[in-house]
Amino acid sequence: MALASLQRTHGCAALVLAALAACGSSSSKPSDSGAGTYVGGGGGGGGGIGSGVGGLLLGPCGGVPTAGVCKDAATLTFCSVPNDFGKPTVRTVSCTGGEKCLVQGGKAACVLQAGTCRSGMSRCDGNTLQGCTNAAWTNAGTCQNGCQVSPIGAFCAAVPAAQTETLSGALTIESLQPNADRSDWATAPTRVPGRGFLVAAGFPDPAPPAGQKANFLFTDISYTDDAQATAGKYSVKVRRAADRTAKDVLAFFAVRDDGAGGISFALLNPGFGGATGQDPGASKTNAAVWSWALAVNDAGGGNVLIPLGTTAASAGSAGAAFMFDWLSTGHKHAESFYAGKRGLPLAAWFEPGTSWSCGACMFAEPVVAFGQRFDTQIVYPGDPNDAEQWAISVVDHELGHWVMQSFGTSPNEGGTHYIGIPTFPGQAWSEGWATFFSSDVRVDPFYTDKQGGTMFWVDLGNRAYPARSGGWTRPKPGDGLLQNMDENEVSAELWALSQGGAQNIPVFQGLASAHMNTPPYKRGYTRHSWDVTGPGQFANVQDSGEPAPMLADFFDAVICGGTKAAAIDAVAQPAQFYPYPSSAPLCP
Amino acid sequence: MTAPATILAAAASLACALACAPRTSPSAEPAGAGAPATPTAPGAARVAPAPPPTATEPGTAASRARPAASPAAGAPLTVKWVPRREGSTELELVARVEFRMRFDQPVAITVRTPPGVRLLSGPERWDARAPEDFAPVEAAYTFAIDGSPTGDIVLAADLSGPGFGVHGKDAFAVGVPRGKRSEAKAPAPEGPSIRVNGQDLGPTHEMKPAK
Repeated sequence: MALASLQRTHGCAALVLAALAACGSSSSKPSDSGAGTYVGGGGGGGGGIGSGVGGLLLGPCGGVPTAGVCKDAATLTFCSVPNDFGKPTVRTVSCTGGEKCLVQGGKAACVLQAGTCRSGMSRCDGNTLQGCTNAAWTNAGTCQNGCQVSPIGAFCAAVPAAQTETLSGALTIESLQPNADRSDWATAPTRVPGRGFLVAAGFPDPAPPAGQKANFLFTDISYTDDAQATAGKYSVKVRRAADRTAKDVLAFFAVRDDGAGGISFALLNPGFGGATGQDPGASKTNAAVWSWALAVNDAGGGNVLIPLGTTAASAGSAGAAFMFDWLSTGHKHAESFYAGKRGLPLAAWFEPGTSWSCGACMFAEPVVAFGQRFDTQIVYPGDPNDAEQWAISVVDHELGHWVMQSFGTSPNEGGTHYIGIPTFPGQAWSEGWATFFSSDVRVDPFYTDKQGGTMFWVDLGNRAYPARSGGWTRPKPGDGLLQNMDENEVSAELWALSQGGAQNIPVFQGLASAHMNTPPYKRGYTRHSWDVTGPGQFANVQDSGEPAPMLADFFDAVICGGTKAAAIDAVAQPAQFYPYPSSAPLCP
Repeated sequence: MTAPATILAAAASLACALACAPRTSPSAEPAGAGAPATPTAPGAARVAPAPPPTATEPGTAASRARPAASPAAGAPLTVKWVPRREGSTELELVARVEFRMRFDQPVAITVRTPPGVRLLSGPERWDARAPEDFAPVEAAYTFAIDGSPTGDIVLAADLSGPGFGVHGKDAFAVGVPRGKRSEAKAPAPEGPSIRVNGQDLGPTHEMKPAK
């Protein structure tokens, strides 16, 4: 087999005959002896982010920086800080195939070297299909009907164009929305268009090589539309009716290309089979791309449906499609603000019945799946009692963390956090941004979720908790810029600044500005880590000394970018609440 | 049921007989301090005293520690049925409310029984208030099982306002063994696995023509 390779990737079982698996990084607990002790000077390590600040605490990763270090030419190690309920963990990744560990822009990463490849990759060289063997491109055959690249692999067109016909239709998904009083998910499904799905038509190779399973031979691939007026619509070339058999398939994949033959993002099934409390960074050796299919001959006029069904299991399938729809929508929304710049490749994971130790979280841990190295991952929980696949607030909240990781700088403060309870400035900024992004994508100030059997919602446009100490906890003018804040207060300020999405461009520009991406950050905040023993109860607080951006830096960036100070004053209300000095922004 | 469990159940039953009413745990708040749980059902009992140590099942009831951080910690509160004794004709459950947010309004707790189950003791409705230390709030219940229940015993918590709302729910399936009370099956793929260049992308799932 042209694309076969025998390879062992760190953290994975041996991979035989192509990279079927998603290989996570290995983890190790940081040295206990390191926690809470001081080292003299530096401490940032070789990731290019050493701050030079003396007296740094080693922190929960024992001095391993979030920017990572190359232990050797083929081994990357770094401190992973998942958002939300994740715990900082030291991870080690072995570079695969033609990759080398390099420090670029202050960050260590496995970088594919020119002219090399990774097992599972494929490409077209003119009409020649190429695969990857032992990190080298090898010819897999000449295509008689043209070679075409796609995020699920390059392929030779199965039949000449003259032997195809166009199938046009629309993809629809059955979903569950919050019920009228937001006390649970509705029981009756709502149909929504499926936006941004890869559409593939083809049939299994009728004469596969001896001893091998049949590859699919594709006649065409395309995508479902995501424009509002044509959402879910698609056209794809299928084999003409005279030649078609019952095995001709129309399939929809939860994957999007990066414009260069690779995957931009995908929703994957980790294949744990219903594990609870799973480590999000664990190897996912049974990974599959979420996909849905039916026979072309059964597709009617092309209008097809991913049904809700009557069981939690089938709801998981429709839910996965619904999640991808909002991942796709959010992804496009984010990239629309940063013309020409693409976000980091993203592997999102969801499996009905499988939950994660971090709840739902985004983390910048590289993983290889289907020949692609993804730089970031999101895990979404699959507890059937909560059915969070319908919680699009959460889907795009986690994507908001990815936006910050891709186009801004994460403060790298994660861990347990509570609604209405102020937390450290970096975490409040990170979580507050993510919730704002979720609302901005949906043009909806309501954040709705269900966890542990409890449905709850917050309206960012109406700062009102039925909580003690005056309800919604606003910042206090006397507590300074670096005070702990309720993450939803940050979200509400961003939502107000964007005027419900009508003026969101300066908000997104601020995130990506040099001001927010060039350490040290002018307001001087540094990344902290801590343990949480209960709501508002912090213990073992440590200052890593690593510069970290936060809300005041962001306001600086927005004003320095041209927004009037009065706009910031209107949302921060410095005399009564957050004491941001809009008349004295710290501009470069 | 093992002998120690029987003793625990008997002790729990005794505690319930004394006061099957909501309580905060591990210890009731001092009078006038904070907001103790206050049952509102007619005839419902007063705030119960702290249960004796033998009345608690280790690891389930009235933990002395604050709620541990968990993936569900994002929810402002959760409610849960904690089984105490499951007989063929009678059932004892503890309703547990765990707060993770400082509400200044009471949370309405309701209990709903299905046909075939009767509430013997414990309030159908009561108000739970979040203790300052976030200790769980509990209430003990006894149910009679008269026949073959056709539904779940539902414990619900509700609080909503102009900018926020929370609705917690737990359902106890009578007669269903533990571990089989929730459905957690992954969808069974029904379509073909699609292989590209020898790489298996995984099985496909059901879809159908839209009508």
